[in-house]
Amino acid sequence: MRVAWRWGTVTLLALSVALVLVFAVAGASSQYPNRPITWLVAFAPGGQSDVEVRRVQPHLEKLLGVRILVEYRTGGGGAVGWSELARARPDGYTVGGLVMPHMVIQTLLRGAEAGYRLDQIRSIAWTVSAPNALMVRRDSPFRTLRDFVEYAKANPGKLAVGGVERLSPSDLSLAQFMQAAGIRLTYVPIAGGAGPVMTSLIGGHVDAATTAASHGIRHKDQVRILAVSGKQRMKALPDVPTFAEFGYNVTVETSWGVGAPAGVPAEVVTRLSQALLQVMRMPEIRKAVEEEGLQPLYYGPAESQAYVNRLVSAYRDLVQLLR
Amino acid sequence: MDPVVQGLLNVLSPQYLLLMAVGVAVGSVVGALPGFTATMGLTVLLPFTFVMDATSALVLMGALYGAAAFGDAVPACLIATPGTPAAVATAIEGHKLTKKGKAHQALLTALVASALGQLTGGVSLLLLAAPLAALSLRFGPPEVFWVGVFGLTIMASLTGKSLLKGIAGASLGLLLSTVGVSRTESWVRYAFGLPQLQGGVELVVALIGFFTVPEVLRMVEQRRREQYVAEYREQPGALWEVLRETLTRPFLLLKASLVGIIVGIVPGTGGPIASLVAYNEVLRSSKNREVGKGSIEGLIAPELANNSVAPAAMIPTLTLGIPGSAPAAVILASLLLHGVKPGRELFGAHATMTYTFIWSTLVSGLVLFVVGLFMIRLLVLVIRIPVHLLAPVVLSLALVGSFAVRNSVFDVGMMMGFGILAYVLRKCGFESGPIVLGLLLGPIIEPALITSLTLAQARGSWLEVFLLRPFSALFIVLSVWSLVRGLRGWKLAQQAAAAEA
Repeated sequence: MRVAWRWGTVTLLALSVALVLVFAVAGASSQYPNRPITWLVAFAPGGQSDVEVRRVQPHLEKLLGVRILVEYRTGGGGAVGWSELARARPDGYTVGGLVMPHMVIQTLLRGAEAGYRLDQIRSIAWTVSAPNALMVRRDSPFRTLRDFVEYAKANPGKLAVGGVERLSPSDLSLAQFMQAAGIRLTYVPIAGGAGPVMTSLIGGHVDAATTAASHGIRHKDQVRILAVSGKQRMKALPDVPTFAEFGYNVTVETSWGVGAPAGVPAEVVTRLSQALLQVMRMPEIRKAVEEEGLQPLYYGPAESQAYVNRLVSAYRDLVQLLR
Repeated sequence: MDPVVQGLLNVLSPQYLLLMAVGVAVGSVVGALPGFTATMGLTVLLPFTFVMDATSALVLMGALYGAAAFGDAVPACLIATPGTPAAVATAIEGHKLTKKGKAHQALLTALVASALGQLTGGVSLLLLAAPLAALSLRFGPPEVFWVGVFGLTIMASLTGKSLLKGIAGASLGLLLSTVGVSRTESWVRYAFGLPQLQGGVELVVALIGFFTVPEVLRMVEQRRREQYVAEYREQPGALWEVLRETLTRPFLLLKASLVGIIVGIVPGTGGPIASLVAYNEVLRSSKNREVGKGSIEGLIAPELANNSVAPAAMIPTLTLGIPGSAPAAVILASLLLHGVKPGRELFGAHATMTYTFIWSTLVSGLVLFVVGLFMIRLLVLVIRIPVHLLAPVVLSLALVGSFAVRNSVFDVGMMMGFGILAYVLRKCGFESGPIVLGLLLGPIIEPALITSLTLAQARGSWLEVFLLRPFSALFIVLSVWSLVRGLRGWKLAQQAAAAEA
């Protein structure tokens, strides 16, 4: 009897606690955010996606008044993390770092096998971009892009150009360059991100490398950047010409942003994107971003969605180069 | 003042000693919990390092990284469960030592060897950073491929009675490593339409499945006969015994350190390979018949090599800005976020900070030794827990650990699947060692092979890329030699076993 009584009390207590909690959550949910936000990173700790969230994390926590919990969901060139983001509850408490053009290339080439569709992820903001660069070692005989192209024309397929994996921005930007310049190079896919690509270049195992310009800038003592993609020269590299200056249309660039599962409330998107862009506009953040050889972007929700759409239509034709 | 001297003085200040103690404590714990790695410990610390200056952040993270390489030996020795992939050899040799009633010696050996490895690795970082960084650049994809092949040749040391089953196991491991998006070509393989499989088989998850689960099942099986994992008596003088056994073998210490340092600077490799190669080497070269059956000597090599990897992996990180291992990548990110660029600047404008860090890797070896001595006194009591209590606790640690790696329930299922598979395979005479070896080396060998093949296409010569580079040639010779020695050693061991029986 006593036992039953005791269990009854416990159950009652538990129920009332649960009820209080339910009301507390329901009552508080009027202002977002009121509990920690989980931020999924689709690449390994220490990579650029990680750096981008860590850069804003302390400031964002101060602005939003809640903690940001960074969690890593790595694998499949980002596919694992983005599939999970696409399936998360769209309440604004799970967001994730996005990277272009990786996401659009994967969905275009792998279809359903990618594990997510672009329309399952709502872009909140795009904050940073890096043009792609073609670089050689400091002691390389190629001093300009013209030298490089001339040699390649005379020796088709002889130049080994390292890059991050196949079916990647590196691969695509080199394909674009080869087509525009009418040359044939051998693309050497290297696993493990831009770090090993730079080791292979600096170690002299490949003749040239193509990856985000920021990596070249980080190693500027050892490498020479021949050209960068994009319409304008980079602020961090005023002496380096763009491919366009030689008449080669190379557009591939890498950009980093933030997204949430589709169906996330509009006010959440607005709040997050305002906070993020406010952090990105802070002078010290802007300075750090530019010094690393990256370009700040300030795309809010509407511009972000338009940006993604623009990339989708641009890359639909571009990926044909890789087939 | 000279930055080298200033760095040493800095390190000995109470502030940094305290940070090291914190790093060592956290590192030992994350290392000891299966499924939790140094990388995870570092990412947890990362937000806290923002509020520190860059030097403190480096000292703290470096201490954690080193200590995790000791922590992983604790469950390996006590319950045959490697805390991280780097403790596979320890789980074999250390647990056999525990079985002999020498759990205390096993843990002390791991501690002494780890602290020594930290010292030798630290010395290489202090004195040889520039030449070793240059050496690390010589290892391109073809060299890394041959290092991987060399790693495979130690399979014979890990296999049980049947060599054929060992080869089959290693092949299974290699095959499992191909699941998911391929690392160079970006094709999806063996994913069966499951997005969770795109990320492939996580090494730590497989490790828990292949080592922990069969061990738990074995505990349950033998519960009636063996109430405890191993006999254990308090043994005074254990530390003295371990120190004597360790310090009287300067040649072994040197060899194991060299293995750790070389593997540490080779891109894409790390503690797991260093410890196995060092273990293989001591098995091959030792005259001591106890080595391989649970000996202090056999345990020194893998533990020492594993710990000298950590400072050595910081060499390419600091000098070239290219991380030598996954934990080093996190440390590098923290540096970048503090606005410090690696390379020349680190040894120029920030030289005092850099040398403070380099000295801290040495001093944290001593801190690890002191903190570890206290921890071991408590940890060794795990052996006193009767099996019927220990088995469920270990199993729940395995469940939590396999979930924690990627916060994935799918991984928990995968771990259980591997566990049951490993149990059945063990009954049929397949050891887990070769399988995990294949799983460990596949992701190193395959991408390096594909990259080298494309490189050979550009060079127009297969021979030039694969055979004629000096370090490729060196590792080919080493592989052949290791294979022949390994097979002969295996044959001799089998004959000896047959003669005894």
